[in-house]
Amino acid sequence: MAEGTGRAEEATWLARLERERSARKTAERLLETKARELFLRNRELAEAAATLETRVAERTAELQTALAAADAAVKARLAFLAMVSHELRTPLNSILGGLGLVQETRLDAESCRHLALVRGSADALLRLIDDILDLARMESGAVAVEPSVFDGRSLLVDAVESLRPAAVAKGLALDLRCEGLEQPWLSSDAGRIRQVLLNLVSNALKFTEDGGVLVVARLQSQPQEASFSDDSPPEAVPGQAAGQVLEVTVTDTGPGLSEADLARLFQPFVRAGKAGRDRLTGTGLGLAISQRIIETLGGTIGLDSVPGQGTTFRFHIPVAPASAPAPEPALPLQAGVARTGRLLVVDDIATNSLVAAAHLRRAGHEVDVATSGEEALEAAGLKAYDIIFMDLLMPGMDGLEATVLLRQQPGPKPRILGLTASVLGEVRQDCRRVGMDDVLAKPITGPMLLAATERWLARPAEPALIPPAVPASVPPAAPALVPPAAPVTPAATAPPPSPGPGSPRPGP
Amino acid sequence: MKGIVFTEFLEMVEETHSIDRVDSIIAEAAPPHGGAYTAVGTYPAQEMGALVGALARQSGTPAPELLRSFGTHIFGRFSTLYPGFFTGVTDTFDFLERIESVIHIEVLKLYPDAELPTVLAERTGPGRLRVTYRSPRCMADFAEGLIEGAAAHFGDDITIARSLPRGAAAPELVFSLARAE
Ligand code: HEM
Repeated sequence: MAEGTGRAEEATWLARLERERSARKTAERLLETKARELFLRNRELAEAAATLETRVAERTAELQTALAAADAAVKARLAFLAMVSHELRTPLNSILGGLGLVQETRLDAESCRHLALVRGSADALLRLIDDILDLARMESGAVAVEPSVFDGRSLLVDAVESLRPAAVAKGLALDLRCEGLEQPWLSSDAGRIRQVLLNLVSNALKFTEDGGVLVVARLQSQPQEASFSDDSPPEAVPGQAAGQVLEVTVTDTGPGLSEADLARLFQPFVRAGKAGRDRLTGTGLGLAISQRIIETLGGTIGLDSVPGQGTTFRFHIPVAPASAPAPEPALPLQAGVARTGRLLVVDDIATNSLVAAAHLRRAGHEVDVATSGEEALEAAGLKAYDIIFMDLLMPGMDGLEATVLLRQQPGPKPRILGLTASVLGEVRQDCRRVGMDDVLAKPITGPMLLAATERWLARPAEPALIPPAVPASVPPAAPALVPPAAPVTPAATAPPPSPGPGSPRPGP
Repeated sequence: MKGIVFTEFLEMVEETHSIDRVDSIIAEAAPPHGGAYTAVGTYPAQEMGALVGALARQSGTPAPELLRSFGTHIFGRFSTLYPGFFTGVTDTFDFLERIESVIHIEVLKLYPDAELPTVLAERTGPGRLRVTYRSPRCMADFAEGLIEGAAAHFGDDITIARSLPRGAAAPELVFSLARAE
């Protein structure tokens, strides 16, 4: 019996052992299943992560391509515009040159009037071409600020005075008040500021029939409270510790603008008041360009207007005060006595060179003409010229290349002045780099050629190649360069010829 | 229901009764796997009912009573197995407030297929806590045991009143807890 009990007990324990073993095996299988599940899950996650990475990489590459394409499209558009602008300017240049020559001949009153109209239209067309290219460049962000040191007061006076004829013609008052400009030397982009001033003032004159236009310029150390809420003056630009703000207001007594006009005013090609076609001519691209310029210079522009009472445009730009640049050495200019020189005009377009030569010969200069870079080199080898006017864009050897070769020639160094229809700053830099003394912007007018000739003949030829103390941004014939004794007529400088009252120009 | 509940139950029976009792209740409940429970496995909740029912019949102790004492027992085990759930908690009410928001959530991380009740704790006054228990498995007696286990663990003298009589199976009921001052 004891043995039976013993065996029964053994069987019980074996059963318990079996139960425990079975539980253990179940647990082990469960763990294996879990481990396998975990492994698979891990692999899935790793794959998902990898796909995600490739997808991110692919997407990044796609975006970069798209960006590059967009960038290329912008560049292509700009290049196209520059090209078109050049193509348009070249014939226009001939037209203007020819017109200038005809205008200098004896004409009866009626022809004179007709010619003036044609001239006005051609000027307007040229201005429009410039503006379109200018705006396109600014919208594509291709405009760099070209800071220079300039006399702020002179800049204001010159800009305003250049528009006085337009004011006089309409019987309008035109006044300028400067405050805080006792020490007038400033550093900013003088050319661009002048452009904005001319835009705003000529617009104001255009829209005003009675009364006049007042320009007030203030140089402030601390930005003052603006008189309108949405246009507070900019904070001092970082890095310009002693920064100042130049505030300019242009107030007219014109018809003023409605709320709706205000909202659209800075958009390109928007004109005030549809019904006002007879009274107002369009503002064209002028305001849109001015706004882009001011923004590029880190400033703000805005306006107040009361319909029936007038409009005040106001801009603020940060400027750095500067000390006066070293005075230019007095030029040995024989006042009144016109010097004559030996000149060479190089241009592949015969009309251009003929027109230019005609202007120069009339002033008593000895002028030769070449139609290519190669011809220019040959001519320069035969005769020592005082000044060579060199067109930049010519088939075969272009103006830059010809200049490089000319500069390598031994003997007396002629002055080389580039002629270009391009308004791009880089082109100017290229010109200086190859050794040109100056660049004249097409369209080349008679007065412009003569002024440049007079100026460069007056300078001793050696040592020649110190770059003139002129900021690249200032147009070559800017007043700063002109000796006080020989002021250049405003028409020969960058400001647009003042529009007459009946002029159909579409505005600055 | 998670295997740990079964293995802990059978171990408790072995401790408080005998290993023979374990054999006999398994024999009576006759689960398909012969009672080879593992803590990491998952089994039908009815098997728990069958085991508790068998023990009640064989020991003469009513099933609700057994479930309650099992709750108290397993709480003691939890405090050994999962000391992490107890760090920083010094009193029963605080601990019960953490069941729903912390502890059962941690349990789900270990056992994603765990079927847990809703245990909501609410302070109704000084020294008072209302615990609402809700579960389709209707294991209120087990819950009460767990609460008693918690009180014992923290050394709190707590009286528990139920809004349904002991042993009454309901998907939701309320425990009103009062701490003796
Ligand atoms: C450290 C403390 C605790 C741990 C680790 C824990 C863990 C668990 C585990 C693993 C289950 C089994 C789930 C399943 O079978 O699928 C469970 C069920 C349960 N727990 Fe907790 N628990 C704790 C505290 C509490 C407390 C204090 C209560 C008191 C109300 C409670 C009430 C319940 C109830 C009643 C069940 C049974 C399932 C149901 O009723 O639906 N638990 N718990």
